[in-house]
Amino acid sequence: MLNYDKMEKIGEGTYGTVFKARNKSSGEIVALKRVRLDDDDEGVPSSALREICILRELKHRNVVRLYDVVHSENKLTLVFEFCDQDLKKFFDSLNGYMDAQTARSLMLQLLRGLSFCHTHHVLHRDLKPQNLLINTNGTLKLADFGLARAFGVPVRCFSAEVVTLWYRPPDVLFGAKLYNTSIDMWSAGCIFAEISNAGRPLFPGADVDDQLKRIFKQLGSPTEDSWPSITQLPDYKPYPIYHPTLTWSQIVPNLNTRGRDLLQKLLVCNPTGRIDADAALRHAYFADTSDV
Amino acid sequence: MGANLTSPLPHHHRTQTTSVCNHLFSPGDGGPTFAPQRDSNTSSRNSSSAKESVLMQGWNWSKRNIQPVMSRRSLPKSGSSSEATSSKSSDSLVSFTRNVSTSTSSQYGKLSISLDRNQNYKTVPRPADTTTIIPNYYSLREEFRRGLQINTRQDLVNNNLTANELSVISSPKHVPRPRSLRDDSVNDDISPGDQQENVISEKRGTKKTIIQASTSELLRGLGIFISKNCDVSDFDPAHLVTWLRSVDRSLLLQGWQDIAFINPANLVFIFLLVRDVLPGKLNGVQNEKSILKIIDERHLIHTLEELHAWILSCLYVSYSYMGNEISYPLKPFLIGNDRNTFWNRCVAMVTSHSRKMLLLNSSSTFFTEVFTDLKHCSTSSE
Repeated sequence: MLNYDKMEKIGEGTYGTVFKARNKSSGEIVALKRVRLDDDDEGVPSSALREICILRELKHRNVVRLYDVVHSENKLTLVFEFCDQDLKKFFDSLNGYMDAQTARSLMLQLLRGLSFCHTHHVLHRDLKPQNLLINTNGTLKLADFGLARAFGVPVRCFSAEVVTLWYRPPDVLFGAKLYNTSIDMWSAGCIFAEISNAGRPLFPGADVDDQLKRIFKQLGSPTEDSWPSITQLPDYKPYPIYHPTLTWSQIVPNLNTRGRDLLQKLLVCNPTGRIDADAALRHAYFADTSDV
Repeated sequence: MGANLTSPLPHHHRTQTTSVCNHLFSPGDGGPTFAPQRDSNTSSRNSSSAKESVLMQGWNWSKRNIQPVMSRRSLPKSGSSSEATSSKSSDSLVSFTRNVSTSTSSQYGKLSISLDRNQNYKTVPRPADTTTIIPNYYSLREEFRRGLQINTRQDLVNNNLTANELSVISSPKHVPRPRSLRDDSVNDDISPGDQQENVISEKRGTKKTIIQASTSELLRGLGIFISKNCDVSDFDPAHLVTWLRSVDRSLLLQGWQDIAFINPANLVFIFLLVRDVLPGKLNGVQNEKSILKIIDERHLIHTLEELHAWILSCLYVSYSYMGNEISYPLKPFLIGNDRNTFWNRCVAMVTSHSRKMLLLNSSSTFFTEVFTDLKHCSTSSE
């Protein structure tokens, strides 16, 4: 890593440590993600390898750019474009208030990045505020593709151990091993609500059971009618019929009618009914500027 | 004909009694795909059950290992239908190419593969396009029943391992029968013992080619390709089977995966890497700028052990990229202690081939092309 002057440590990724660094020749600031290859062995390097493969092929304004990969001395160093902070830290700086325009801009960029990934046959599978980076100029970028994978080649199943609990869709919570781009759309919905509430998580469950309860208490418990063959999911168990105690306008008071409509189209328990990224981008919420 | 699933070895009797999920594994896969040189390909494939082979033992082990995982989900359904052995989907591969077009698209919107709500592959009514139906028998079977008519109705399985009427796992007594797609529209099992089938049929004025292959067939193809294209004189295609199967088995053993990785689709992926990166002779192999970097190292492959290490690097990249699991340990993929070389190879492969790896997922045309290429290797006579 002779080309870079290491500056401070930024944080810990899914694997390895992330440093801020400066390119010696160009002066450009980058983020260096270090993966140790000599540890025996929690499988970390294989995730890193997959992230490298995938990110090399994703070049988009709203996806963090991987500039380079260097292998040296039992280390793999991933050189990323540098972003100032993640969405989580951005929330912390807001003091509980997010203006409608910023919220819409962030959501728009999230969906654009997601649409790009999905169009290129990549599932992110770990969307959450910590994995969304924000530049000082307000550009949002999807990051941390450690759980991402390409889809298209036929598989019998995917791993069910994906997506951080609070952002995990009901089908995956029930153990579904075959899913598609809808897995990311649910997470996007959760993040959308969180953005509009300036960082208050929508479904902060303590465990899988609690997570499903929180979801169904808000959305109603799914049935075979609303979600055919739900009972055949590997970890399915029936939940009582809950009656929502809060209306959507109470849950996301800062969202206008169109925003609430989009949110409800994202947060559909049955994955087949969930709106996809392209359709979400065409939603009237993004055409609406009356509140600006 | 369907080769016997069970092992002739007495200590494997449990495999015979708890055979709920044996059909998940192509019978032919259990046998020594590559018998010692004295055997011809066909005889070895058809007589797999009569041989006592290390490969066989290993494979049966993994079957048995998998059963608890699989049967939990499949048992309740196993009685309701006799025909559909849908879970064979990853043991055999069928690809349909309609009007092979030259354009590839990286946009799934333009692909004529589409996923139904259960991630099954469905054809999209796009008659003048290229279609690859990659083998999900849940959908394929239904489509065959409908006389290959495209139907927008979707089946409702949420999970491949659970089942409904379209994807019912067959009873333990089910014996795969050989069949030809030409017979009729009934889609029965694909028996790996079958010879390869290319079916061309006319439908709505478009030409449709069906290619299908089993795991054992593609393994043989890969083995033959390597033996033709590298300078290691004592390499036998059977080595490849041992190498691949033993990694797969040890990962099952250690609990890193509960479903075997080696299946037709993943073999196509491995072949993609091996084809471009490994060969020792340049004839017939596309020579790209991107692989020149790696080409130097090719000259280092003179011994079986070096080749083994090479193949395992390809395998590690393949597992990392295509495996069901989030991550895999390094150990089963390492020969000796030269981690530095191992990682150099992996990083070089990733750098040179990330585009093609994704393309294999996003372009049905490209997938079919590589698949066909591999299949030709297995059918080309040595």
